[in-house]
Amino acid sequence: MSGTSINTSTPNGFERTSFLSRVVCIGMIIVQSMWAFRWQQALVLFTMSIGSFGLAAIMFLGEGALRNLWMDLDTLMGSRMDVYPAPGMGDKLLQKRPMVHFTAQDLEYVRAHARDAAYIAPMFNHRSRISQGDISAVAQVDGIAEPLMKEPAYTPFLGGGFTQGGRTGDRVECLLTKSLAARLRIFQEPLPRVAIGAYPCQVVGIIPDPPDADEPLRERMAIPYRWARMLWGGRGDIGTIIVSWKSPQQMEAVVDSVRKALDQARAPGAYHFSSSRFAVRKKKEIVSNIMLAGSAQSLFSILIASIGVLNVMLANVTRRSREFAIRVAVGAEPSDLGIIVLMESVALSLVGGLVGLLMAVAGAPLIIQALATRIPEASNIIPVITPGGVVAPLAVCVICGALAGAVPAMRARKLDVLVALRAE
Amino acid sequence: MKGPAPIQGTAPIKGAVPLVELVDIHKSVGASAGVVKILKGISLSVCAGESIAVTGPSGSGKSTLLHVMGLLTPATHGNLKVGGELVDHDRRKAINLRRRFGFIFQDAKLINGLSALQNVQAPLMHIGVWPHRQKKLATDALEAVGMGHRLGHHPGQLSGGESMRVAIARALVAKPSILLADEPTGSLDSANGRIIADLLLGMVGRTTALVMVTHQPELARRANRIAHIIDGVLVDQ
Repeated sequence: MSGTSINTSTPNGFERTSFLSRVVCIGMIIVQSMWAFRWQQALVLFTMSIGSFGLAAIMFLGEGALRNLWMDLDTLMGSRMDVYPAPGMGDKLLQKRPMVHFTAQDLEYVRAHARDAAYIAPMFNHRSRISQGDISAVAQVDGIAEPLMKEPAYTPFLGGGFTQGGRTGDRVECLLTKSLAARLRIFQEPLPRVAIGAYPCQVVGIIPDPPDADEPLRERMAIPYRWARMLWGGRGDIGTIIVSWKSPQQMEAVVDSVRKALDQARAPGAYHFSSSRFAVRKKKEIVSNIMLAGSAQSLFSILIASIGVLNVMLANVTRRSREFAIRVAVGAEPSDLGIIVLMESVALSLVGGLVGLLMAVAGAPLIIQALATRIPEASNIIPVITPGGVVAPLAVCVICGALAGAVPAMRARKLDVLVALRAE
Repeated sequence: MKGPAPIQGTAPIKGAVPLVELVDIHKSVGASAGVVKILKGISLSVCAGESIAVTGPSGSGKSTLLHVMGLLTPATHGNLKVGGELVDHDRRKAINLRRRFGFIFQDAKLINGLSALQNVQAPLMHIGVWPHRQKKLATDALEAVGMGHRLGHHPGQLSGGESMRVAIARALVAKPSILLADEPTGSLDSANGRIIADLLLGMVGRTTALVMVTHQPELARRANRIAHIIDGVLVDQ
């Protein structure tokens, strides 16, 4: 080899570059191209961001609504359910049977078989006329057993509450809810005596109204179970059974064991449960279903946006075939072109997803405000930004972007350079 | 294997190793619509320090010869060596060998949407040169062609002569061994054409060569060899 020639094995100083520098350079090309064609891509970005916004907003609001429901649950009167000696309302056949009351044996059987229950106690409910002087009102009277007297719902904010004699039934004492006390014009101590029908009773405390109760049910009175049963209980009738559990996790086990015990003691379906927790669970199901429907709609809009990305990228490859051919002529590998197109599609979708996510973070409180004008309860919902709510829309956008970019990327790889250079 | 037939009236620089060597190159295009033979047994070698003007009537295969030589399209038949390495079906090897060429097209073919600096950076980006070095090399290349004051201007803001100078900077920035220019002055007025010709011929040095396709006899005469093609065949000049 002569000295006048160049070193042909290393013709220039740039052949041996690192993988990292190549990645950085490809990234720069993608950013340059996205900026250069920003207006063509704006529509796709907008559509993708709307889909991402919908999905993220649904997840943030849904999570907030669910947490709100569980917070409601925690503020309910303990964690308990009522068991009524009657068939469920949904069972038409059983409704024709005569109501058969619970007996002391039923109560003992349930107490013996129900696992993990905090307590199992009887309760009497009866509507009765309550009067104080010239004023009277018809109210719900609850005959409560001792375990229930310790519940926060029966802790008075005015007055000392049941005395020892009242708890055992030696003295006739009662608690009034705030609404009933207001109706009877009882606002301060000393607390007066009232009459339940013809029976006198000493008021020993004013308790808060039951949360979430409708207007008529806010006017309530609580008296010791023993007196209630004596006043209104028939032969062997113990009223309803109250079952309470220690923690929300134990609810299912307690409910199952009570159900089995009553199935054996009486007959399947000859009783029914009523619990605020069940109502909350129902609400949770509704919220979950709304979330599911909303997510499906958002996914659909992302899918539509992906078709837009596919179209834009295909059009880009056609429009930019001259640019790609020039790039090949100046040293690009055909695989580089495929990577550039694919990554542009993914980046476009990701940017759209991020914009949508930011819109959801900023817009979720505004959605709550708008909802609250029609549904006041909606104002209690605080949007919750969860990792899942952030990752899911972005992941969906990236996957859709990659799928939409795959076909244009293949087309870019197989570009005929000479045809593209001549097609001016 | 037969060696390349020297063109009458020109001779390779004595003792030089050919940067590119074409032996009996054929190129055909088309299939169902009928095969068209564009190159019919071209043999040519290009050594360092040479400038070769490829001339001939339109449609004679001058540009195709340039594209085959620059590995933008494969030959249908024949042997092609770049820097002594035989070009075969190894795509990776072909890509690396292609980076030894710098292309200059008739209408500059700058990438729209990118500035002059970004256009010149493009070859370095595809090689994978770090960004800070890219910028310096691209700026130097643009200054070398007298375009240092138009770094941020886009193709639409440049005249034909300026665009061509940017294209030359782009072809030179990755320090290629061979410059391939396809009618570099074809779309320029005579004054600009002279400037571009001076630039191109001035780039030919001890380690580089220039192969340019041209229709202009005065430019062709400035090259130290002229290859005349008629109907896909290299004829003596």
